[in-house]
Amino acid sequence: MRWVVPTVIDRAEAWDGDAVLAARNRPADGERAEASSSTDSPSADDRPADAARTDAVLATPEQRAAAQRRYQDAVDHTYDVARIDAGQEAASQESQDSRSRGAGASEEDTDARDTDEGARDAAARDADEEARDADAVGAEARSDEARGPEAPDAVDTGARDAWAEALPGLRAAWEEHQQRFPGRSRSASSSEADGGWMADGGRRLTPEQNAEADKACEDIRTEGREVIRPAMERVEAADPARRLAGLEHMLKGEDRLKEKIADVLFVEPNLTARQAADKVTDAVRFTFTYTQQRYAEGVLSDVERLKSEGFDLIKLKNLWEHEQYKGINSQWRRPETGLRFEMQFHTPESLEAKELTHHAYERLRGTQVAQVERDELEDYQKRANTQIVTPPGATEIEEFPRKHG
Amino acid sequence: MAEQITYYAILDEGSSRDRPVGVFRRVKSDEGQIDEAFSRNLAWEFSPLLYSAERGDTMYDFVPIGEDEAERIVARIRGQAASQE
Repeated sequence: MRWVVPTVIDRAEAWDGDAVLAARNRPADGERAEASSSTDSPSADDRPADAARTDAVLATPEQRAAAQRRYQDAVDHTYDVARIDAGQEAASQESQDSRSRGAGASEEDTDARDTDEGARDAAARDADEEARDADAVGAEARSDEARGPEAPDAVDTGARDAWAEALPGLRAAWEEHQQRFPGRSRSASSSEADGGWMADGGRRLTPEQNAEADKACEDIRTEGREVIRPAMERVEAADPARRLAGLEHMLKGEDRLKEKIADVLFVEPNLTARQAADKVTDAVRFTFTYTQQRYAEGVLSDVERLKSEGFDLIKLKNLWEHEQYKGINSQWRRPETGLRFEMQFHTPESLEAKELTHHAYERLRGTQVAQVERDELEDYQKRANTQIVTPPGATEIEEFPRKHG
Repeated sequence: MAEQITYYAILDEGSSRDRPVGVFRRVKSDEGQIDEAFSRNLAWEFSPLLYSAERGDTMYDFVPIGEDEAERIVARIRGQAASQE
């Protein structure tokens, strides 16, 4: 069976959703009653009362407390195996910290782990921004999973248990790596006296580019908040079986965005800073997480829903058979303005593997990594992702567009 | 270990292998591995773009090419730069 992402991408109006649905050959008819377009979907206001998602949108202390309890329940359930196997003071302390701080613990724990790398300073905090984002995303993924409308089946339980069993060893391996290869803090980005901008890795923007990048960042963030997010919430509302994870981290930080703008200009110097910013695919980013059984169907359904919202699919990258990363990442464009955004499709475990290996990835991206460490970092990422159970049908989802060449 | 160099054409959705946006190489040797793009400075310089792509970043695709093809892309980039001076 081959799962095909529709090849007509220009506009939603031109896309034949019915044909795609017919061609998709769903694995279990009636498994889920779903709407094929957002117009059939309940509005965001129709969501269950217990669907409060994040601290960012929890209005009252009671709501926050309830969310924290749900989060802790999820952590306890998911990581019972991990704690038992670890049996270490550190794990115990982590658990206690988590219990005391609830949903906010994830970000704090990341900072605590960073202490070994000397990442307490402001520069390192900047550099680790995405790692903290990812931790928060993972925490929410765990929470989302626990409060989903249906109990996970055996496949999901097996996937979760396998990951939970592997987690203590993976964390220990990373700690060991950090001891052998003490981390280097990335230098902080800085605005120059002349109005330019500089950051780690020799990245730089001229004063003119920096001014243009400032404006581009502001515009992207505004459009992300005011246009893209509401659309994603409509898509989310179409299916209560999965949720957006880490919505509060949907906007990339300004310095991280400028780093990417600089990376684009490094190889495409003829672009303006605005054009480079427009090429950055994850300045606005979202993540859906699905259960194992619903992953393949869920991804395809959500691709359709995003198109029905009027977005153009630019690229869909299936990385389930890759060693260093598991999941599906897709790039979208709002045709009215050209704004691009990213949608990642994960299982809770693949999302956690991403967050767990983020520091390794950051090191790999660095300029001064010895080969012996590089080999270890790649082995570590591979080892972590080997533990991830691939959802049924996930590898059959075709990339879009087909490979170049 | 002899030095191993793999060249890549950098592509986005608006480019083609015949006319990529840039050229990239991964150099492996006894001293380590380095990823380099042919940069705006008209030199091979470190770039994290391939690692990002391997990690799921969708901005660019990296298509393996031969050394001859890489040299042609470099020559084109140099020519463009010269014509703009």
